[in-house]
Amino acid sequence: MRDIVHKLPRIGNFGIGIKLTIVLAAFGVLASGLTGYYSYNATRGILVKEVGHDLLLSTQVLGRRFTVAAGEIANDALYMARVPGARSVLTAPAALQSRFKNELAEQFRTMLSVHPEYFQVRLISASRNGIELVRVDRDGTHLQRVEGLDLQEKAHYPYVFESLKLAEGQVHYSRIFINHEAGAHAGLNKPTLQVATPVVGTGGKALGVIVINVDLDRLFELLKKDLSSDFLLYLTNQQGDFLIHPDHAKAFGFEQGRRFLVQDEFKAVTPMVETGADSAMIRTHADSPGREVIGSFVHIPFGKASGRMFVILGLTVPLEKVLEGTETVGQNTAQIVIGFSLLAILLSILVARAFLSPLAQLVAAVRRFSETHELGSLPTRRNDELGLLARSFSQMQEHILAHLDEINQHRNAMEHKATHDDLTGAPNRAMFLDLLQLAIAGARRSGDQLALLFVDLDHFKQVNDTYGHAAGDAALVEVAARLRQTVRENDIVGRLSGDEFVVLIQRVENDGQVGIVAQKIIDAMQVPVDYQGHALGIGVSIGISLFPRDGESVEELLVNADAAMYHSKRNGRNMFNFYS
Amino acid sequence: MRLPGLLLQVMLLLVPGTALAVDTLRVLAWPGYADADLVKVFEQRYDARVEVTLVSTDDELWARLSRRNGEDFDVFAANTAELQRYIDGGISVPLSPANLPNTARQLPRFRDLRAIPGLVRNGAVYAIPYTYSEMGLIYDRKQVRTPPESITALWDPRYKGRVLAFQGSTHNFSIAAQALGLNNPFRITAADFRRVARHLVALRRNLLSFYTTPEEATELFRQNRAALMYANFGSQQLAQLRQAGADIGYVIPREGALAWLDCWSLTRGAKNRKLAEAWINYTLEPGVSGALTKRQGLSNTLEASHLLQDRARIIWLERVEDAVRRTTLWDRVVSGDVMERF
Repeated sequence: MRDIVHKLPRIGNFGIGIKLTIVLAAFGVLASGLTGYYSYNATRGILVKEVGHDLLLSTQVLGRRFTVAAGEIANDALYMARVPGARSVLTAPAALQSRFKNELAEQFRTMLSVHPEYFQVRLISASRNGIELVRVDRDGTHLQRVEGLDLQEKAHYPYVFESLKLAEGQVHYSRIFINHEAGAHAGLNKPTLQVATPVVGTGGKALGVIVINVDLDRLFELLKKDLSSDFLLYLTNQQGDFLIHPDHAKAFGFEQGRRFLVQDEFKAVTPMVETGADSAMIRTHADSPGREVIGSFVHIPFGKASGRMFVILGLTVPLEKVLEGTETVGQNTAQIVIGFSLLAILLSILVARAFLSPLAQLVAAVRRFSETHELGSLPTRRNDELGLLARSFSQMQEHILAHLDEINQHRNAMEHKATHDDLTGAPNRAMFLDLLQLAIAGARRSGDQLALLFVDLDHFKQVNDTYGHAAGDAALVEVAARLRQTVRENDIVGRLSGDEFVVLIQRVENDGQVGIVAQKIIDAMQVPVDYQGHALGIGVSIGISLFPRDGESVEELLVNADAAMYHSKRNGRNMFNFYS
Repeated sequence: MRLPGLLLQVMLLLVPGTALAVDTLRVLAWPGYADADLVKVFEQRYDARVEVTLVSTDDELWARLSRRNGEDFDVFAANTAELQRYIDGGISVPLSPANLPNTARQLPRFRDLRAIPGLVRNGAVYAIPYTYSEMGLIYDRKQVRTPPESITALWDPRYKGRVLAFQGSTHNFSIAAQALGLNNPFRITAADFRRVARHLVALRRNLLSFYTTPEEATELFRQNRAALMYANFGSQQLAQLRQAGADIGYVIPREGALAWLDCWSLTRGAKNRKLAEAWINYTLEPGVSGALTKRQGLSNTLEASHLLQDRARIIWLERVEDAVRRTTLWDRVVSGDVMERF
């Protein structure tokens, strides 16, 4: 039993406990990690979407501002074309012209001073090869009126010959270009949009043209002033050529002999160039590798009711800027994930413990049981499988205990049988001799005396012969019982054979004490034994040997007691004799 | 066992490295000389990247090449007259005809490089002919009943506001000199310069507008119903207008038409001369040179052209007396400075 218990697997800190803890903790960590990761990603996704929406809105707003600004420039041109001064310059007699020109120049100055995005305002004649009549240029920080021989002939430029074809109130928008006209002051070699409208005379004939040169860079600076500085601005013409690009080398590439097209850089914009689609969202790697950007491009028509002129306006923002906010979200998420992971580990340990403590209890119970055969307390009240296991185990223990009892009883019976006389229940010869030996050893140590009484039935053969063996047996049983009743409890009555009994009396103080016992026995045997109505008369003859006086060994004592007994028999029975 | 495996790994690591270091060929050319599809074939064949920059005037070409002494480009196309200032300035450098086997496909007159003025200097070959055209007058048959005979037609007040001219300095000074009857349009004397400039102002006053590219010329001509146009790009413009459905005629004026022969040349800044020469050789393949004729209407050096045969006088361009002076004056003319300014 003990061996079996030691071979049981150890259920302790290493084993199921660790495995269970690891599995539960891993599950907990994984669950919180994945949740964190997905929520982080979802946050990024939402943010990108939101920024995309913002971008589209910003681009549209910017586009609307551009349309409005283009309309306002047109209105400024139309206003100048209608002021009486402009027509007067074109029609008045030469003598008066100088005054009208001065007045108009003052108006041009005013306009330029309130519109920092205007490079130049001019009145150009329809006659005399398109000579400039009144011209004010921006030159650095101040405004400069151009006069005399510095005035140039412009009839060969489209903004003049195209505008002269227009009716009153119509406006010509040039394509956006780099102005190379010599003497253009601040506007020289700068991205320019020209807005022109005819000055129409009384006969309906165009007499001249008002032209406003607009500083495109400045215009967009003004338009985008409240936009986030992270936004990068793109502007293209109808063909997709970049006019504004964060990389200045790519703007106006066609002026440099190389074309840089929006549809090459941002594929998603292609339909806007080819079929005039309204808008496009992009998410791509821009020219510099590894930098992902998102952006939106919007089709911006301009010019009154023409619908033919448009530009494509785009805003992009590097994704890293968009996701800057998610850094903290990421950090927070990471902290939460770590916190939950630790919690999961702690919980796993607790859960594993809770699961293992009944098991440990079971193990302890098994150990104790195997060592002491005692029932320990088991978690039998649990409703789960552990409870079932504990109950089964408890039952098993009880079974085992019951079996053990049975086995012990059986063994005791067998032992008794081997050492006692079946009939009388008294120790048999072998057992008695063992006990005598033990008593001798004990007496020898303590210095006590022992007395051995050899008791032999008289006339037992006659009883057997007269009344049968059963009667003999009954007599023997009665004799044994009377012997036991007569002697002290710690004195031993044994049956050596047939009708021979022996009595060992311990701690004998003198012969008299022994003689009293012997006489008591003889007296007890005087009463006949009742057997089925027959009175069986039984007497006894007793021989006594004492230790150490009559012998120091079992054999000596027995032989001497026997001899004393024979002496009694010869001398008349129903008496006792000491050996010496 | 281990060492070869390691070597293999190292080699695998090096392969993308070499793939990244693809050579870039920087070509400076004119519209139609390096079409995207033909460039792509070259890129694939030589595992190179080609960066094409287009110019439409000689002034522009000079501005690009002289800015950093030719460092920005590997190979360029210029006419024989313009080429001289690039050789003078050391921007154009000699090439090795031996590396250009396709020159064997050229017509004999283009193979004899010494017979063409300006290609060979001190025994070194600086350029290989590629395409050529004379610059005549294009007119609208509906508006101009009798074909113009003289270059002076550009100044004809009957066509005022319906004439188109090229926005480039050198040739305009030359044709103004022709119109004025000067002896040598390429050698305007100091005394004559003012007169020629003023004549250009007069030309400007007679114009509808100036154009820079063949495409722009076609658009202006068609949209504004121009009557007369100076064909700076020659047969290329003719082909484009006809493709657009214009009913036009073409004449060589009696003063003679200036003609250009554009050649490929290497710059001193050429990073990979072999690749640049491979480009030149590639353009002399029948498919590439042929596209020049088929698509652009320009003559190539492999096939005989009708243009130059049995025609009136052709005046091959020569280097001019002072290109910078012409450019400076021209900028003012085109910007609209009044006559009194010259």
